[in-house]
Formats: sequence, structure tokens, C-alpha cells
Amino acid sequence: MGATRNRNLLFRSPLLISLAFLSVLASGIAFAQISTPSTAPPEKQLPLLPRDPKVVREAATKNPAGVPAPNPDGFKSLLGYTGRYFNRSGQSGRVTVLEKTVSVLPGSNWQVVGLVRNETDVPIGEIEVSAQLLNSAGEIVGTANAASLVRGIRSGEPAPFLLGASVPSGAVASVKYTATGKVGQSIWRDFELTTYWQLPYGDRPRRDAFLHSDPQAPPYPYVIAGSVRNMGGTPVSPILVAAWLDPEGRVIHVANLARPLLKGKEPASIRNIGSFYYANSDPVIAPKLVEAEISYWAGASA
Amino acid sequence: MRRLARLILTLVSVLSLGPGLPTTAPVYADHSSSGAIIDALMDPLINECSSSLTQNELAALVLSIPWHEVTGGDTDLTPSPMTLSRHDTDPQLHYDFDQTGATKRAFWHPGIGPWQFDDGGIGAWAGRERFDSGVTGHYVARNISGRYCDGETAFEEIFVPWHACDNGECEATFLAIYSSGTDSLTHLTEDSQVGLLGGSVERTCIFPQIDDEFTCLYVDPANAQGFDDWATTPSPDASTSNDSPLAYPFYVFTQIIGTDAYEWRVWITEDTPDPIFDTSVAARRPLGSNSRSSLEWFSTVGLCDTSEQRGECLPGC
Repeated sequence: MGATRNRNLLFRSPLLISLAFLSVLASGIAFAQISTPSTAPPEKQLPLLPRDPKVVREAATKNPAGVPAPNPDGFKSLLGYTGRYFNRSGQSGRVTVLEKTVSVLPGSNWQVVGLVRNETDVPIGEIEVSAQLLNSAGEIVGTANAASLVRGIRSGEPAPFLLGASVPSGAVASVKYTATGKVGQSIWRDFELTTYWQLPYGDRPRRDAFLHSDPQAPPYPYVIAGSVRNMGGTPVSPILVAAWLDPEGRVIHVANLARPLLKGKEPASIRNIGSFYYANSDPVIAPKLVEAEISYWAGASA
Repeated sequence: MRRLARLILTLVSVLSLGPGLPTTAPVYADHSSSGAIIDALMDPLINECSSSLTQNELAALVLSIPWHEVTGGDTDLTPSPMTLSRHDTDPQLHYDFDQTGATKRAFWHPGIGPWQFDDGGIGAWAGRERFDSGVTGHYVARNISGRYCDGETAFEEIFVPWHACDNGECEATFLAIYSSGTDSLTHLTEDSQVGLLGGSVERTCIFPQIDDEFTCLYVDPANAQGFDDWATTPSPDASTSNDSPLAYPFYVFTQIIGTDAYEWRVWITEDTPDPIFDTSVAARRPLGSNSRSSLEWFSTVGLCDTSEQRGECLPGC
């Protein structure tokens, strides 16, 4: 039969990284240093989901010949995070914008969405992402900055960001990104995230039930629903964020996920497990979401 | 407690089926379910809301879903733990993207079992475990009871992960199989012919180049226990805009390498008509991801079923 057929593996090009680093140095913009609390111990343990011991005993721990080793940027299911790019190998010691994940959003003004990664060995409260927008002559035509949409970012963990500026998209020829880590309060990340189902955008059977009721007529929105399990037992109110990635690994959309309002209950607090949902009716973005790969983050003030 | 619950179940079943007994309740059709699954749901450790949900109430909630997921609502049919979904038509789910040719039945079914643990949804975390209704039944029970204690107590809230329950079907079934007056399961027949694996068989496997043995599961749809129309309708060779073919028998196991975990399915040459495959073919899915977008296929993976000496077994394996 045919040769092994693998999905295109996502990897970072050392050459591109070197060029990017050199170009930043040449422009006088240094990669930001992180403010690291002196008492923060390096993170050694990965936030693995607890597994059935029976499964661990039964697992095959080595690959057969002809099967590639796991891609360090590949998909992982961890406590508080599910998705690609959680990678503790080859850490740079900085917080780094993963430029291959960045995509320009539709619209007249410049707006991008992407991932930034904590490549240090300590947790970071939040990451400030900045961008200089350059025209084709290399002149600065605008700047933008924003905090990552997730806080309490662990060693090796990516976090989504959304940047925008009042500059026409067509005027931006290139972008220089920098990122700065900030100390923050402790964040509880021990959550397990599960998708229940997704409904595609457009003309499909109408849904009118818990978590989501469609409008009377199509096009119906894209909808996703799922659950978040709190592994700690103490009620907390988690912030839930999702990113949708295209087949090339670029983020095409990010959003906060909502918790349902329950009769007689504090809506956001979860002791054990609760449902979440999100709907999008944007005719440009929504049709792309059902085919995209989803990353989830969950965190709550500890 | 477990024995007591079972005794109550038996007594109620006998009473409810007794001739000439007066009844003011609606007359319900019988409901057939795997006795092994009912047993598994009597484990008190799976009830995360025992202060509000009795064990029988929780079991009835969990049991009321599968008929609507996999038997078309026919409650006198026993849902099979081996049930393989047949409605996916994504080319990535076929070896070599072959949807119509000779290899089309090297096919990855995304939805598994009575609760249809789909890897694009509630089954994303599970590999081989999806084929064990003891594991999945416990997961469903913990999900429902955990959410119940966090306020999701209305029927439409309880059943929200399952589309087949969207229109009140599962609520109606719950009301039929649970008696709140006696806190007991009722109108429920235990099918002793359907085990937790539904006809799949645990075996010991190795990759020939590697010494470590591991437990794998051999899934042959021809051996499915319980309602098995999914294996014949549509025909196993079907590949239409609505239906997938039925997979040839395959081995499934979970692999964990450090922080990376995969569900594997392997088709060995003995299980495919000669000469379609001259070597085993296999696919793996990172746990947590959707097979419709994340499968990797291989034609280089040898697997030896050391229990039965099937597959690519080297001398001395």
C-alpha cells in the first residue's frame, strides 16, 4: 500500500525565528523581559488530566517503527487547556508571539488574532502583546497593544490575544510583535473541558432547547456547547475562552464562552461540573467555525 | 446497597408484569437494557449528587438515553455497547481518503456505544475506554449527577449533551422506567446476553519491534451483542452522502507517551479480504481531538495479537 500519510506537522522554523530575532534587534526593539517573582518556583509538573489507572497500565508507551514521535506542538488535553502549541521543549526563556498562528480578521481596519506562548519556566499572570504596524516603506503607521485573553499562563502554555488599530488593513505591509509577561494573582486552572456538540451556521434543523434557542428563521447561528468540570471541589466562577484554528494552525476566531443562567442558582459558580455555550451569527466568520479545530482555556481566581 | 437496589428492581419487575394487577399508571412498553450496565450503574461512587439523586434515579436517567441514541427509540431492543456510528462521510475517516474503492472499509467510526461517545464531543477524551460501557456509563452518571448538584436539574438541562433527547424523548423514557413512589427501576428487563464490551474481546497485543505488551480490544461487528442493525443497515459496503461503510474488524487501544495520548485503531490483513491490504493499516487520534480533522493514517504499523497469534507476529512473540 501507499507510504505513510501524515497530517502536516506544525513546527517552528529555526531560520525564521533567527531572522525574526535579528530583525527585531536591528530595529532596536528588544523582546521584552519578563518580570519574574523571585519566589516563583519553576514549573516541573505538566497539568495532566487524571486518568483511569487501568488505562495507564494498558497503554503502549512506545511507537512502532515508521510512526513519528509526538509533535511537541501537537494536540494535548491538559487541565485547564485543550489544544495545540502547549510545548515545554526548546523554551526560549521569553514570552513569544507565535506568528504562524496569527491571522488578519476581515474588516476595513487592521485587526489580528493569534497566540502568544509562555516559554519561560515559571507561570505568568498575563501577557501584554504589542504590535508596530509598518507600511511597505518600513514606516510605522500605527501601534496596538492588548492583554492576553487568558491569565495564569503556565510554563509552555499558549494564550490567545486580539489586537486592533484604527489603521486600514491595506496600509499595513508588515508587523513587528513584542510580548511582555506580568506578574499576576494566582489562578486556579484545574478544570476538565469537554465539547457536547456543535451546530453549523446556516440552514439546518432549528434548535429550541436549553443552552440555545435559534431565531425563527435561518440562517441559524453557529453554536457550540460543552461542559467544564472543576477538579477542586470548592465552588469557583471560571472564565472560559475558546479559539478556533484553521487547518494550517492559524487562529481565526476567539471568544468567551457563556454559562447558562439557572433558576435559583448562582450562574457562574461551579462546584462539580457545569455547561457552557457560545453562538455566532456573523455571516463571514460563523460558517468557518464548525470545521475549525477548537482550543479551550479555563481559569478562575484562586 | 447494590444488592438491595437489584432486589427492588427484580420485585418491581415481577409485580409490574403480574397478570391482573390493577394499575392506574400509564401502561409502558417493556424496556430492555444490558444487565451488566445496570449493575455498573449501581456503584455509589459514581453519584456526585447523592444528597439529591438516589442511585436508582440516577441510573434511570443514564439508562433512558441509549434507546434514543442507537435503537431509534425502540425500547424493547437492547442497545449494544459496540454500536458504531454510520452517518459520517468525511473522507479523512477512510484510509487513503478512499470512500468508494476497495479500502473504504478501513473506516474510523467517530461515535461509539449506547451513549454515542463521539470524539467530536463527549467522547473526545476517551480511546479504548469508549468501547467499554462500564467506563462510559460511569462517565455519563458522573456528568449528569455533577451538573445536577450545580443546578442543572430540569430534564432539558440534564439531557443537553444528547441531541436525541432534544424533544423530550429521554424524559418520557425516564418517567417510564423510574418509580419515584418506591424509588425503584421499573418496566425494565435485564438482558443478560449483553456485556459491558458488547461482544468486543480483550486481547494482549504488541508492536513487533517493541517488547512491552498492552491490552487491546478486538472489535468485530459480526460479534455484536444486543441491537446490531447498525452493522447491516445500511449495508456494510454503503458509502453514500448520508451513510458510511461499516469498518472491517479492528483492534483499538490507548497509547500514552509522556503528555501525549492517542487512540489507535488497527486493521490487520487477516481481517480484510485478500488482497486488499498486504500489510496492516492503522490510524491514530490525539485524545481530546476530533477524528474528522485530526487522524493520522499509517500503512507501516505492525500489530501482533499475542493472545491469538494474529497479525504481524514475529517468531517467538
